[in-house]
Amino acid sequence: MAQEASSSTSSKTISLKTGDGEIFEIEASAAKQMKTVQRLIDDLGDDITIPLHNVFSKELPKIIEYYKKDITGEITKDFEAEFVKDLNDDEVKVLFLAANYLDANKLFEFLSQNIADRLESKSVEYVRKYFGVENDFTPEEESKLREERAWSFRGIKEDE
Amino acid sequence: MNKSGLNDLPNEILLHIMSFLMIQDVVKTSVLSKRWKNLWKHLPHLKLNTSEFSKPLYFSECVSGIVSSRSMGNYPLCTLDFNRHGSFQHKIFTELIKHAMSNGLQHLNIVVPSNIGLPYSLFTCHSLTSIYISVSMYDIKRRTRLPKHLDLPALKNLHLDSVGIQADHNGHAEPFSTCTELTNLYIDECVLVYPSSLPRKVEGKLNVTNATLSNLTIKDALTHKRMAPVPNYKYVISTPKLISFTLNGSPFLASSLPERLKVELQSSSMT
Repeated sequence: MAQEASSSTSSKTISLKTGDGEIFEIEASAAKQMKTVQRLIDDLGDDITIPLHNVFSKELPKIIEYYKKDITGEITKDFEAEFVKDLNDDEVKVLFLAANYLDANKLFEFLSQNIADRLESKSVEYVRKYFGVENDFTPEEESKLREERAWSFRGIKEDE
Repeated sequence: MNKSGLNDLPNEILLHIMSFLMIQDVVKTSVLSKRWKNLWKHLPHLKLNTSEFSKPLYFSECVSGIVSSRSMGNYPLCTLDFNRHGSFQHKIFTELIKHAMSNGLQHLNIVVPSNIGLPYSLFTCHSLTSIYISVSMYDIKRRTRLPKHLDLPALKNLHLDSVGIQADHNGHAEPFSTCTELTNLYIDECVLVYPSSLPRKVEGKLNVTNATLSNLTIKDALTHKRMAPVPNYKYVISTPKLISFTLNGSPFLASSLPERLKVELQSSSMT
């Protein structure tokens, strides 16, 4: 062990506990990028396992993977493309909701763009399902609105 | 397990996702449900780009439709991006600009064909803080022009690319002196436009006069292959607060002026 680290948190890890009871480790500098986590650390101290009730063991490792790359300055367009390549639309949605809850800004921005890309030219029905929107228009109201906005309904992809 | 969906998120977050969507997808969200019907109108940044449309007609219809939908209420607009290299209907463009200006627009970025005249409402807007206008060379008539007077008291940044600058009957133009907040001015391949009664050989003056300007960049049009002959004029620069002046890509040096470009530096804080 040569010199002391310049920051006392630089080699420290934080324990995070998911809503389904699993524990994951993350470096303190990565935790700092997630404002919700940092707030909990400020309140509870960095020696306690931080509970994340709304994030689960399926998505947290992916989020940790992203921020591990972020703190070494290695996030590139290629990395981001690879990161979401094998995720389906629902998996991206879950990650997005988690990034929102964790107040993890960089990931939140990236996933906002990715969701928008995935929704490009999709049908109204697909988008409704994706967002979880309940259609409260009557059939007459909806068809009138579609007619008024006919110019925005060109070139729609078939639902997959 | 509390699995909330995207629709449970507040409007700000839904609008944030929407801000990454192409404009047609943005407008389609109005059909999702009653909550979404007018949500898209709260987007502060409108991006209208023909490349997102398979036909120019669809683009025109979309622009027209958006203006009339947004006009049915009070929806402030902060930034407008508009990009159309080919021809575009003047009437629809004017309605778009008028709508944007009357909704408090601050940032305008437009790429337009040179047969489009810029509406008066663009130059009398008190909320605009930055303007970028780039004219694609669609035909040799330079209809896209800066008028003689600008009523833009909040303007800080002005970037003009291939825009004509209207001169008076003496061949003089001094459009920038009334912009009392102007900090950055970028004049790229802009040309003085004489009234038809004035012979082109009369030497004109483009007066760059401004009390607050810090940074000036001039890129002179060096070739005019497709354009009508350019009148003979010089730049007269009177900018007491100027910090940087870049001419054709290099810092200004009076000794290194290219022959056809005449620049008179009347006052600046530069040595």
